[in-house]
Amino acid sequence: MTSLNPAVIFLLAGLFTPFAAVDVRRYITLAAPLIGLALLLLANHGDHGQIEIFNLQLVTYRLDKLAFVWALIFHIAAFIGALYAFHLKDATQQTAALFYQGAAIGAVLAGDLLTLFVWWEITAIASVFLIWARKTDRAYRAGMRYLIIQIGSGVILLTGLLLYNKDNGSLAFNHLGLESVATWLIFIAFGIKCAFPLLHNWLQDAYPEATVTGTVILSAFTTKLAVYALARGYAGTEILIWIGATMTAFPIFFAVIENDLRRVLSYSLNNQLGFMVVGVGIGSEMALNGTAAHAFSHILYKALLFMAMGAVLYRVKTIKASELGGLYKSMPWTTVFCIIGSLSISAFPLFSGFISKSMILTAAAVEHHTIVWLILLLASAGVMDHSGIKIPFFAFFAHDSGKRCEEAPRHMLWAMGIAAFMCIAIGVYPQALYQILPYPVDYAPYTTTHVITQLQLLLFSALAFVFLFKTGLYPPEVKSVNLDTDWTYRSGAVAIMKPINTLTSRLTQSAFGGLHAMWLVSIAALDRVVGPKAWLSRSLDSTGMVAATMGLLFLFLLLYLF
Amino acid sequence: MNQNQHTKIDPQERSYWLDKPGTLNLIIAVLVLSCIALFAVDFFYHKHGHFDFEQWPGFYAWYGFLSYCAIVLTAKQMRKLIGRREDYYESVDSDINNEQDHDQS
Repeated sequence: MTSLNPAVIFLLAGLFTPFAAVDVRRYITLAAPLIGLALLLLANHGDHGQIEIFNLQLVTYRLDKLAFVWALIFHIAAFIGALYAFHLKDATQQTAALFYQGAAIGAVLAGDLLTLFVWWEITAIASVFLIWARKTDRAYRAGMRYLIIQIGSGVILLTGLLLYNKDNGSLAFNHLGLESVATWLIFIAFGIKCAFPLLHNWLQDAYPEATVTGTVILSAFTTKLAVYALARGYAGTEILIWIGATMTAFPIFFAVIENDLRRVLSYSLNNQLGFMVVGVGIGSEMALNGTAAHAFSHILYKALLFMAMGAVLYRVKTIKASELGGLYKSMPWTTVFCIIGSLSISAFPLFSGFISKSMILTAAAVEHHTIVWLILLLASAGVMDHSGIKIPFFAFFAHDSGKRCEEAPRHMLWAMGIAAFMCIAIGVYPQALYQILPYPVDYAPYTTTHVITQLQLLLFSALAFVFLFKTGLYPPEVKSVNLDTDWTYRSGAVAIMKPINTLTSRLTQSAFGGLHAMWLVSIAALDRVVGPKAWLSRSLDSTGMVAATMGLLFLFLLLYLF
Repeated sequence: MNQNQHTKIDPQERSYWLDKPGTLNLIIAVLVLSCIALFAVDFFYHKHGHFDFEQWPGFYAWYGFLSYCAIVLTAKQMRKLIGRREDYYESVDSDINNEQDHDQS
């Protein structure tokens, strides 16, 4: 039995990695998740690592059933990501990934808000290097936008937790609820990382700009950490049901017309988060089980899909649907793994999505949230389109683009194979996953009704695709970008700032004759007041000081007496 | 970069099952028959549902088909509103023009 925090292993590995030889580095990235996993499995449930700083009680390592699910899948995702990135020689990405994964694990194991905040910020800072490692100007700018928003979330969290400590005299991270300004601030901080509607666009903006392997790693941690934080602090908060339902619905429209297939998957990720958020909002035991189960299976099939698209980008050097097609001839294994990912995310029977997403839908139905349930069902048909059909169809089939390449490298195939195996294993034998959920599971996914109705929904969706594609109504894949909320800061804010900047520089011009002249005037003015020869800088004689102090004290005495 | 990466189609390339003209029609036929069978099954078993409307014959089939069409056709119209040229924010090649081979370095 051990109470060593697995996150520490990742940090130590991350500190050591930059100094290790190339071949050693690769094995470190693989070994860290395995050692961390062993520590996690050997640890007793309960609070460990309690420390006290400035009268604040901190619990740096809390292991309970809810945290265990996330910590476990984060370790698995870290291992799969490391295997997928095994070819890398780039120490920056390997180090960043270790810090990022470790911080995410540390965050779900945090028992208080301050510890959570520290890990929360490390995930933000470490992860941006996976975007910058792409080394393009475009990735640099996308990374900057991403970092500003992620750090913004951290600052709001910090403000919230300080207020919370003032109100409650405690930083324990348990149920918070929307009861005060403090908990609202924390809620918004979580909401940014969870890509709530209108706060979502950092995700679709940044993830597709990361490296081939970086996107795979990014897809697993940040947003699911936010789902965990919501499940911990805001279970049963009704507004989350509507936020979640909106999240399942609106990204699917963007996904249909997006050309960059890794961006399609980012919209799809947003949509999947919606299901989990609905589960948190309902807050019943079945719903929270559904959220935990869905986070678990989602991380696997989403990583699998990102790995398949990453392999395409790695080999073909583009991931635009308008340029792809017919790749099944060159990359048959990748095609098969991608289809397994698609079947899983679409929730076909015998695949992982089927046994996890349905728990959330059933929980919504049990509570008679009719409209929400109908939205989730509509979103399920939407998932069938963008992730079930569009991703594999336009990359590997559709019209033959004439592009021929090698199959993905062997270690990538292994990583995809492990994820694909787990997707099927969970779908075929759901009890394995149900056993580790936070609450006892009273749910049977494989009923006649459920299998038949789900097949009806999905196959008739596929039929609709055939109908639309054959009649030419299906929107063709064209080179384009689509405006989303990122427009407000990438174009809108610039458009507002431009005239203000022009006006300011004109005023400077007319008043001083240019910016440089204004500098000189300002410096001269300052120099007169605080410069070396100015009155304020003169050193005073100590006699004068004593006399002044005496005078002040005397004045004070006079005022006090009369 | 990597112009030689994608060899063009070799005229000697083996033919693929999916490229044969009948294959696609076969797949579609299988799909249509599955759909017909699934729709028909609705009349032969007792459906356990939470809502009354789930008992309508083929509710899930209709809902899936119509949702799918509605989503795709709405998105297609959205393209007119929010679709922009590829270089709207930055030049098209800004994702590759100075990309070093980051996976090898």
